Formats: sequence, structure tokens, C-alpha cells
Amino acid sequence: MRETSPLNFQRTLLLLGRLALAVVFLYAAYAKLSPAGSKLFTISSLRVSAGTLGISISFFAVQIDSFRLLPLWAVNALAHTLPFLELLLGLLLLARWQLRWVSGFASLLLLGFFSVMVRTYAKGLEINCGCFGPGEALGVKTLLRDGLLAALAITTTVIAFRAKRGPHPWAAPLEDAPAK
Amino acid sequence: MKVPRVFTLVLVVGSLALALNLAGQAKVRHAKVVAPPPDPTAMKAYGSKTAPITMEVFSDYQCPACRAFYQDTLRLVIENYVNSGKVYLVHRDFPLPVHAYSRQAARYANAAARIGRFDKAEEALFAKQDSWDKDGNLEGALSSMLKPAEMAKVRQLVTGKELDAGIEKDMAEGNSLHVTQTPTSIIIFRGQTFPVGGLVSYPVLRQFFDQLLKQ
Repeated sequence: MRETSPLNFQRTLLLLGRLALAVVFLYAAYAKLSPAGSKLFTISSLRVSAGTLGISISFFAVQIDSFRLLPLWAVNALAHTLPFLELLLGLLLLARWQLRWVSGFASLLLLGFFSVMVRTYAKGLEINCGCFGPGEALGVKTLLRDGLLAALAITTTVIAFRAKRGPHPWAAPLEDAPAK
Repeated sequence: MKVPRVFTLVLVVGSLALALNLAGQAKVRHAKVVAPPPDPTAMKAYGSKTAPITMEVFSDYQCPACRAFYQDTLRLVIENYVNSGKVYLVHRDFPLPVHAYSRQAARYANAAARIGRFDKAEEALFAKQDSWDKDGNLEGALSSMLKPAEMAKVRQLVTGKELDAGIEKDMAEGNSLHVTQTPTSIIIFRGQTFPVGGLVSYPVLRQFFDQLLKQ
């Protein structure tokens, strides 16, 4: 495959990384906001009303509070904003809008989550992670998963910055184009 | 006058049926009335079973986090939500193997529950945790809250083996719900289950309860 081909290795990685991160963030937002107790990806889980949203957000606040890291005002602020921020990030990644900065922000966010989880786990607090909805225990598997997600986000960001530096493949002249 | 045979047959069968019925009723009247066994769960619960929210707390009496949860959060939940019929709070024993005296403490609490003094026992065990945690002197902790006659009954119940069944049942329930640490709370509202691991502060929990009760 040519370096100038639209689907070279770097761009393929970037596409896959961006889509994977978009799916992760969209799913995380959906799991936090969908009515608790409903099976995900069913019609009932899509019936989000003001009431069910209130329950989902207040329950997410309970999960954040169990980390014992933040004061009450910060717990509430985070519970009311994080799911919507994840939704926005997912949509922006999907739309490939300002990819370098969005993926950079996503990397910082995931690194922040990962460091909090590592600290909490090191303290011996086996609590609910809350990453993808209720009932998800914090353990080695969740740490590994979130560590890999953070690594994916960082890789995507690096590739996005590198891809931006070079010319667009379709704008570059072909090597074997006939001379005029 | 000749009495029809059918009429005679009906009379005989009817008399027999009546005699049997009367004999059965007499048997029921004289049967020994056996009281149902005490429900260990209800004895360690606060509030009304008809409350819209049920909160089951898996707890270990020797666990410092459980003490903090009880003293800082649950007591306020009892005062503001249980007493007003909004929450049914159930204590479930989940003694952790790392705590040397927690199972024995659970036995004492269950024994106190049998004589209707569970609330006092729980309060005493958590209040004096710092002292019995070191030497295992559980009776010393409980005697501050229970009368001598009550302590004697509790002591008698603890020496028997019947209390272990209730503790094992709670632990089996916890294991089926993947409880791995204490305190763990399972909040149930209209068939939905909300598992909460670890300590939660009262203001945050109150917000959650208020949202549930708005439905």
C-alpha cells in the first residue's frame, strides 16, 4: 500500500481508534443515563424521562461518593455533568470534529479515571466502579480494561497529531504520475 | 308406605358425611398449635415491610467502615426515612474471615435479636468496637446496653448452635449477590436493584432516596 493511499496503516489505526473510543464513550453515557434495572439495548432502556434521569444521576452520585474522594458539591457537579460530557465526546469522535483536541481531552479524562481507580484499589476499597453503569465491581479486570482504554486514547491522539503534520494523501502527487 | 330406596341411600350417605366432618373438626380443635419459627431477617430489621424502599446492608461488626456507615449514615436513615415508613432497613450478617471476633459478634447480635433487643446490641457493638476489637470481650460491650436478665438469655442463646444457620443464610445471600466487602448495601425499589459498595454519606443517600420516592 502506498504511503499516500487514503487507507495506510496510520490512518487505519486512527480510524479504528477513533471509532472504538466513540463507542466506549457513547456506551458509558448510555449506561449511566438509562433507567436502572432496565436491560441495556432494549426499548425500555431508551425510555429516559425526567424521573428516570433523576434516579440515574442521583445513583451515579452515590457511586462517586463511595470513592470517598470528593466533597458533596463536587460529587453532585460530577454526577450531573460527566455522563453528558461522555455523550458529547462520543459524538464528536464519531463526527471527527477537531479530532486532535477531542482525543487529547478524552485521553486526559481516561487517565484521570484510571489514576483514581488505581488509588482507590490500592487503598483496598472494593467498590462499584460505576464506569459502565451500576453493579460493576472495581477489580483487576476493570483496572486492566480502563488502562487499555487510556492507552488507546493516547495512541489515537498521537497518531492524530502526526497525521495532521503531513499533507493529505489525496493532495500529494502520485510517485508514478506521468510527467506533463 | 314403602320408602324409596334412593331416599334411604341419600340419608345414609349424608349421615356418614356429617359424622366424618364433625370428627375432623374435633381433631383440628384438639391438634397442637405449632408456632411458626421466628424469622431471623425480620428480627434484625427496622421499619415496615410495606415501605416502598428496602435497603439491605451486609455488614461486619468488626469492620471500621461499617461502624462509620452505621453511626454517620444509617442512624440518620432510621430517624428520617425508616421511622416515617419510607425505608425498610434490613441488617445482613457478613462476617469477614480477616476479623477474628466478627462471627462471635454476629452471634451475640442475633441472640439479642431473638429477645427483641437487636437495635441496642448493634448500637453497643459499634460504639465499643475499639475495645472488643482487641480483646474479644463482647459481653462487656453489650452489658452496657442490656439488662442482666437479658444478658443471661443472650448468653444462653449464644452457647447453642441455632444462631449459625441465620448467619450462614445471610452470607449465602451475600455471596449470591457478589458481595465481596463490607459495608455493601442493596437498595430495592419497585423491583429495581441498586447495589452500593462501601461508605456513602447521608446527604448523597438522601438525594437518591428522594428521587426514588418522587416516582
